[in-house]
Amino acid sequence: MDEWTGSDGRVDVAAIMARIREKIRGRRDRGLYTDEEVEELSALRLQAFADEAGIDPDLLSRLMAPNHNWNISTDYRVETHRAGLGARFVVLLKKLVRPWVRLYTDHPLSRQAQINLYLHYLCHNLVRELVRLQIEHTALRNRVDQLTGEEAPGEKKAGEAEG
Amino acid sequence: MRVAFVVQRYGTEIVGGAELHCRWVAEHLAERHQVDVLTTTATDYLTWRSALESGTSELNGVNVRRFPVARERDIRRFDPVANKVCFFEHTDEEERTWIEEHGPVCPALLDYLRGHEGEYDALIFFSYRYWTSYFGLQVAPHKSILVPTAEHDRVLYLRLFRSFYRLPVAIAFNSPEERILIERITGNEDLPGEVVGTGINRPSSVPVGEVEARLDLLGDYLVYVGRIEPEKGCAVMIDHFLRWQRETRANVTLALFGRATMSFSENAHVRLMGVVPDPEKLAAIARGRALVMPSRHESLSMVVLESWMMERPVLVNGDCEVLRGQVLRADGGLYYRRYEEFATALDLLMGEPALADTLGRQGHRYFEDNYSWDRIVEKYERLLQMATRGGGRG
Repeated sequence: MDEWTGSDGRVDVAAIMARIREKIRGRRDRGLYTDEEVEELSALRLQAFADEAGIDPDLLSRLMAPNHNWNISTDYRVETHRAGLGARFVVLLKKLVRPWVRLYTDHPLSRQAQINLYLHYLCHNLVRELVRLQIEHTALRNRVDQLTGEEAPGEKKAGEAEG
Repeated sequence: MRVAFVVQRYGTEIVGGAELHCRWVAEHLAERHQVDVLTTTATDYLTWRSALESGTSELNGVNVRRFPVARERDIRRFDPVANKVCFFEHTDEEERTWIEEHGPVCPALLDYLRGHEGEYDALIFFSYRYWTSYFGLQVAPHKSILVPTAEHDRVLYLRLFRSFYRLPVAIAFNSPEERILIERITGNEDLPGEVVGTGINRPSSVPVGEVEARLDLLGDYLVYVGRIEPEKGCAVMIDHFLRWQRETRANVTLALFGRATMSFSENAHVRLMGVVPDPEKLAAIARGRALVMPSRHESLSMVVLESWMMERPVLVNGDCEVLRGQVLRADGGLYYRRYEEFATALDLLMGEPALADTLGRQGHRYFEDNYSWDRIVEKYERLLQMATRGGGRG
C-alpha cells in the first residue's frame, strides 16, 4: 500500500494507471499482446490488403470506421448534375419514377446490404483471428527456441560427464 | 421565485438517469422556491405509453402537472429514421422526422408553456434530446436553463441541435468533459454555463451490517448498479469478469443490481440481485470491494457518486471521457480500456484492501467537496439569477 502513497498521503490514480500500463507492456515483451494491439495490427493488415486491391481511400476509411455508413442504402437522394429549369424537370421526373423503380430494387438492395455486412464482419474477424494466431505462433516459436537454447548446454554437460 | 422544470418523465416510479436527477434538484429547490414540474403521463421511455393520470398532483413539496402523450412511439417508424440520421447522409427534414418519432410528443404541455410562461421566473429543461425539451425551450429561451445530460453519441451531432444549443440563457453541465464535448460540437462557447451535476439523497438509515444476510451476499464482491443491458457495457463487463475469475480462481462475486434486459447465465460468481430498495443498494455498495461502471456513454454517473458517498472506490470504463475524468479528479478509483487493464486493476483492488479503502475515502472527500446539496443548490441559484435577468437578452 505504501508504494502507492505520495508524500502528501494521497494515492495518485494517474501514477497507478501508469504502473498498470507499464506492467502490461512487460507482458507484451513476452509475446502477450493486448486486444487493442491486436486490433491495431489487424487494421494494418486490412489496410495492406486494401492497398493491394486499389480501393478508393475514402471508401476504405469508411470501411474501417466502427459505423456502417459505407453500406448501400435503398433510400437514395434524387439529384441531377444539370442546372436550371431542365434540372428541376429531371428531378421531378426521377421523383415520379422512383416509387416504381424502388418496387423492384428495394428488396434485392436490402438483401445485398445484409450480405455486405455479413461479409464485412466475416473478413474483419478472420483477419483479426489470423493476426492473433500469428502472434501466438511467434510467441510459441520464441519459447521453443529459448527452451532449445537452455537444453543445449545441459546436453554438453552430460556429454562431458560421460567423457 | 416561481420555477418550472420540464422533463419527459417524472415520479418516484422512474428510477435512475436524468429523471431522478431532475426530481432531486426540483425537490431541493422547492425548499426555497415555488416549483412546478411539467411532464408527461408516460413512464416507459421506449414506448411513451401513458401510464399515469393527467392533471395536477403534489409530490414531496413539488407541484407536478402531467400532460397526456399524443401518440406512442412506433418502433417500425422510429428505427429506420434513427438509423438514417445517425449513420447515413440525411436531410434536415429527416432530422425533424426523427425528433417527432423520438418523442414524447406532448402538444398539451407545449400549449400550457405558451399560455403560462409569463407566470414563471425561470424554466429548467432536462435532457436535450427529447421532444419536450426541444420544442419547450423555444417558447421562452430568454428565461430557460438547459440541463443537457448529453453523452458522446451520434444524436448530439444532428444539425437541428446546433441552433438549439445557442437558445438557452445558460447551461448546467454535468461535468467538465460534457461541457467541452457540447461546446466543440455545437460551437456555443460564448453561452454562459456552469458545471453543476447533482447531489445524492442519502436515506435516513443504511443497513450496512444487515445486508450480507438479507441479500445472501457473502465473501468479497464487486457491485454493478443500473440497467443490465449490452448498451451499458454489461456484456463486456461480465465477459471480462468471468475471464479474470477463471484466470485467477479468485473467490469473488459480481453482484448486479437493477433490471436485466439482456440474457446472461448466472452462476456462483455472477449474481443478479434485481431491483432492491435504495437503503439496501447503498448498504451493498458500502460492503462491497468496489463498484464497476462499464458504460462508455455517461454525462454523469450517479452510481459512481453513490459509491463515493459510501466511501467505496470505483472501477470505470476509461473509454468514457466523463468517467475517466471524474476518477482522475477524485483519485477515487481506477479505470480500464481493455481486458488486460481491467484484470490488473481488479488484481490491485482485490489484492490490496488498504489501497481500495484509501481510494474510496479520497472519492468520498471529492464527493463532499463538489456534490453536497449545499454546493449544488448554490450553483442553481446563480443560474436562476441569470435566467431572471434574461442573460442580457430581451
